[in-house]
Amino acid sequence: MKQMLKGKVIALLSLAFLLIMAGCAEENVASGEKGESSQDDVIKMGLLLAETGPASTLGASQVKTVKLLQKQLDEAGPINGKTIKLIQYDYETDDTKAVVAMDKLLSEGVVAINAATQSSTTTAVMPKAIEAKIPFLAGAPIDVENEYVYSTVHSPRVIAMPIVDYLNKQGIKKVAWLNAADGFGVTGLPAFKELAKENGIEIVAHEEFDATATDMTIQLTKVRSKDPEAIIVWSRTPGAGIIARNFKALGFDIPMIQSTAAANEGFLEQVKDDNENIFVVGSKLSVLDQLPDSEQKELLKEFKEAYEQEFGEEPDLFAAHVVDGVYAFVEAVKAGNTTAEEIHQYLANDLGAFLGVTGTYNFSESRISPEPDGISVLAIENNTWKYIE
Amino acid sequence: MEKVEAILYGSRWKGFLGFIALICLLPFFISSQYIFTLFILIGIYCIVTIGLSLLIGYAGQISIGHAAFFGIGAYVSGVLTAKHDMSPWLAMGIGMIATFLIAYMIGMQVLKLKGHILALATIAINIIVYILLVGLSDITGGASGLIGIPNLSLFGLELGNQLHYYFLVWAFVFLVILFSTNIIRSNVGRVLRSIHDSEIGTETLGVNVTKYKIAIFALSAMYASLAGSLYAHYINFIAPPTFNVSFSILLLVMVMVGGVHSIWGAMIGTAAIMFLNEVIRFVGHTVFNISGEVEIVVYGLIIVVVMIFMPKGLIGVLDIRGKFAIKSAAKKNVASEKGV
Repeated sequence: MKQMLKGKVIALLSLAFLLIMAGCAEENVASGEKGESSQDDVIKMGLLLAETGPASTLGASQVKTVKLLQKQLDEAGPINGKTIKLIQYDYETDDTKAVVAMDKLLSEGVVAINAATQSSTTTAVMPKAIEAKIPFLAGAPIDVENEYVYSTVHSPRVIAMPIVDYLNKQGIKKVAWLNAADGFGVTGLPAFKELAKENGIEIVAHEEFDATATDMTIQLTKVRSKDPEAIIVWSRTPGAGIIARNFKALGFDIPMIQSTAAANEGFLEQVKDDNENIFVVGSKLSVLDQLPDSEQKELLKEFKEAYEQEFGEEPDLFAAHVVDGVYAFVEAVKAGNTTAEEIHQYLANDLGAFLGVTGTYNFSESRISPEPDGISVLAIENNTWKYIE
Repeated sequence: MEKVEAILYGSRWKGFLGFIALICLLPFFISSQYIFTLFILIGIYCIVTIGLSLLIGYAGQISIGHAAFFGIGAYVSGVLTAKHDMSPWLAMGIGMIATFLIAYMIGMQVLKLKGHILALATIAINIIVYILLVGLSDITGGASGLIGIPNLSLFGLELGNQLHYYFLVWAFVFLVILFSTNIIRSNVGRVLRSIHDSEIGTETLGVNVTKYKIAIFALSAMYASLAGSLYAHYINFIAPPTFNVSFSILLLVMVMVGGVHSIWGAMIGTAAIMFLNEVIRFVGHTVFNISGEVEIVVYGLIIVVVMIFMPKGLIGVLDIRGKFAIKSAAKKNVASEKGV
């Protein structure tokens, strides 16, 4: 009896194995065939986003944006007879899974890549795109410059610019710096140091905290003894929100300014009802109604309304990065480019100044960052963002 | 003498031949870059899980900290090659020796503990190493990771090519299996198994149990270090979160599902979990339209099911030799030693 059962289990297992192998093989064939036919009608762009895991507070709106954009592209119909397909994989905030997913994308014959939600993951998958000579639209700030890499996000220096402007306006000369000890957190200080030096701002204290820590009271207490006039925080959520709450609990009466990584709904939720003196470098997208009229406002409004209609919530800066990456790609396709090399050449040489939701891009001049015209230091009022001049 | 060995353990060459044939034939059937990456990662993880199988299945100790040794190997290789331009092969060797020594010293203290407490202590080791990797940012690159790790090359042959790397990794796996089966089939292997069954009993026979436990712990750590180096040179980028406790747990799941008492089981478990992971993601996304870490739920379910219905793991079910075991009770006991 036992042996019969064993035989059955073996049969089942081998059947499962065969199915898996068949599945893989089929995928090969499929991708091979599609690879050929895609030259006729389908152009694929690959995206890697953190739909789940710790970075999902940032990735969630990006994934929604991909769905929205795909819908819009489908409704608009083929461009020059080509259908654009956005293939998005969730890398679960795990670098190894991202690399596996990246290979999957390359196997499926994508001609451009937009990745990823976090800096470290972006750095991890980028070499594969460079090796395959595929234009890589970096979705998080990275330190690497390469012919095939285009950044859709602000460099730390560009993010720090509005902060320094704000400090100058307020006449603040002594600041304390706190950052999370993760891929994003450590990028801010070198850029800010340079800008601070140019503007005569002194960094009187520097503390680091673990990105997954649940209390930063110690770091804030240490900083307080140095008597700063403002505190600058460089951290993703949820750490960004926790430190803001600690900051309020300790009764500071100076401003706290946070980076773009805190410019999302998750952060607003975390600091709900106790958010005076907390400022965030956020997208103008969040304060659209308060902006003066401009071409940029129209563009932002169009995206924001479509997003709100689809999902019943507001898009954030992270969604904006994805929009711009995809739009730049769509522009390239509209101009009649279909292969990776053609799209790369177009982005590098012919696209020129390109107004995106994140800000104005000009890849022929700077691959590292869009201009700071899309972001601004925002205050929080009645639990929503408030634009300050 | 050889005949006795054959009776005790069965022939291992059949398994080896099947293994080599499978590894050599697979590239004829796969062309997708994605599947190749999966097989390379499976090979790399197999090296760790084989070490874990020796430690858990044979010596009866547990470790939920092997991601730390994997990380040490990866970082020694990464730092020495990316920042000091050392030969990758030399760096890999240094990594393995360093990890062996570190694990030996840790093992001397930690392996005095038993059961759950040992498990907790190994988790602690993993956490300490993780914090060091993040904190020593001048050396390790800290949280933003270490970039610029070169590809391997062998006698002028560039191993950045996936097919080449596939064969390299599996050649290492083969060497590790060969070395491990030699240990298992030697007197050391028999001592380890007797430690597994009764530590006190073994000690009363005059065996220095601690020495064997520490040695096998350090050896399995060295395997993990080798795997870590291979990982670093394949991905070309490493960051601390890869070497967190969750990875240690994943490794443990692989060994448990495959069958902890056999190194072939460890390998089957590794492959099964890796494919399962991809299948769950694919099916979850496309068929049920659910996203997220569904596989965690499924992992839990699988472990429970495996523990209840297949306490010997997948290998226990797949072991065909067990089916043809001669029915006499005396020989059945011998047969249970097979499958190594």
